[in-house]
Amino acid sequence: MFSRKPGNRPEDERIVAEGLTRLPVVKAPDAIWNSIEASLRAPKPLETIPPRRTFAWTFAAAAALLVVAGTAVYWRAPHRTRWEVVRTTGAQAPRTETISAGEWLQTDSSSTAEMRIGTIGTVEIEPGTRLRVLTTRPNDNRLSLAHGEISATISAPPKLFFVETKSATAVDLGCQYKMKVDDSGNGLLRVTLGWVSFEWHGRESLVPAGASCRTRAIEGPGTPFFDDAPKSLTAALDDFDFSNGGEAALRTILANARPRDTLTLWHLLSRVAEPLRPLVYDRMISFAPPPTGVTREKAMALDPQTLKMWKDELAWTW
Amino acid sequence: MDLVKRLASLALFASSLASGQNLSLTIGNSVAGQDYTMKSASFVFRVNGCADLSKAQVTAVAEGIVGGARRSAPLHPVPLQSQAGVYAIPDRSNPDGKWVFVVTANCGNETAGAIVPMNGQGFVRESTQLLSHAPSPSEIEAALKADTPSPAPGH
Repeated sequence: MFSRKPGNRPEDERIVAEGLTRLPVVKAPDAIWNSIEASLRAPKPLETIPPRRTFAWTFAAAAALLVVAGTAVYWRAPHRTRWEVVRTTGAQAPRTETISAGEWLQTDSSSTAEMRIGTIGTVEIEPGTRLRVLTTRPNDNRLSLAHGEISATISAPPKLFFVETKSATAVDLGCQYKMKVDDSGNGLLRVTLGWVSFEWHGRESLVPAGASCRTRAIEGPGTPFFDDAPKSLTAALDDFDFSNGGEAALRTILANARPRDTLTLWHLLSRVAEPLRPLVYDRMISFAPPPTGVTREKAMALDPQTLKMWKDELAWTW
Repeated sequence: MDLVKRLASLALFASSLASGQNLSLTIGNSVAGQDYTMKSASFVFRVNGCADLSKAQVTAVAEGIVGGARRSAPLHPVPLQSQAGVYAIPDRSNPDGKWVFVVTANCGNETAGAIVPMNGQGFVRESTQLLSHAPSPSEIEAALKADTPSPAPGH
């Protein structure tokens, strides 16, 4: 009846339409409507998850938990890598031992030691020194210097080796340096190669080769100065940093500064009271004009990018 | 006439601009390189005024007098990754004799040079000569004969 012949489609549709109009209208039984309404009111059953999918999710969650817990344990627990220490006492033959995180090392008045910091360098420990190894992780090699003197030689990218004291932390920026400190935390950092960042509670002193920086308990690191700086400058700097020398000490520093002492002046720019800042700026630009991009306004506002740009340019004269 | 004056002042302005862009060298302590791998370098130098640094060419030679005899040895400037146009002269200990390190840079048609006296502590900033041409043999000989301030600091 509905077989289709090519070119006969409108005729077929007409016959079907006529047939449909002739069909009688019959009312649906009530049971059908009741059943539809009941199913709409009933709560939707939860989608069932196949057993294999449930297992996969449980397994993934457990694995993630294990990874998180493992990482936490790794970071909290002292790392167990041991460093080699060669001890020398008087005329006796050197003795080799090892040390790991959490352990102390002490030299007396007639002994020294040399500690290998993994594969990144060495620390020479002078007589009368006490220090503790804090961490020996590949990306965090850390000592705590209680008192005494050490010489560190590090050949590694910056910020892998740290020496903490009571008043400052020396952050290696690829360097060689000496540091001595007493029991109360007063000490001196002297850099012979590269850079060291001397840090304490947000205060940072950048110390390049040929320069030193004092540190004091409570105050933290002072202002760095070149080892060949005039005595009058370093004495005034000591006064400014640790004895509330104020404007009088600052004026002495500025009067005695040489072109190379812009290292000291650059640090002072952000450490002096705001009304004294122009004095420092004017003295700095008396040695050399600021580089392109460094303006008085930005320097006075201590814009970090401006100060960094200026320091990088000044470093050519240090 | 007015046009000639204008052209002349334009030419003067252009030449003054060009002189501001002249090729030159800056010499600094290794800390200026900001590169920990070169912290032991004898010194670092920067090529200024070269529009296309990829075309800059630098050479360096150590010239010295040891026991009365003239010595000459090539140096190998290392370009630093931290800053474009900055090179390090790796540490080279010359315990004996008197030495100057001679640096020459070329960029396009321009040349700049430097004669850097060395002492036991590194380069001697005060006696360093920055030149707008390649150092000549007579300039090098004169630098070798000059008194080098003793242990004064390039450091």
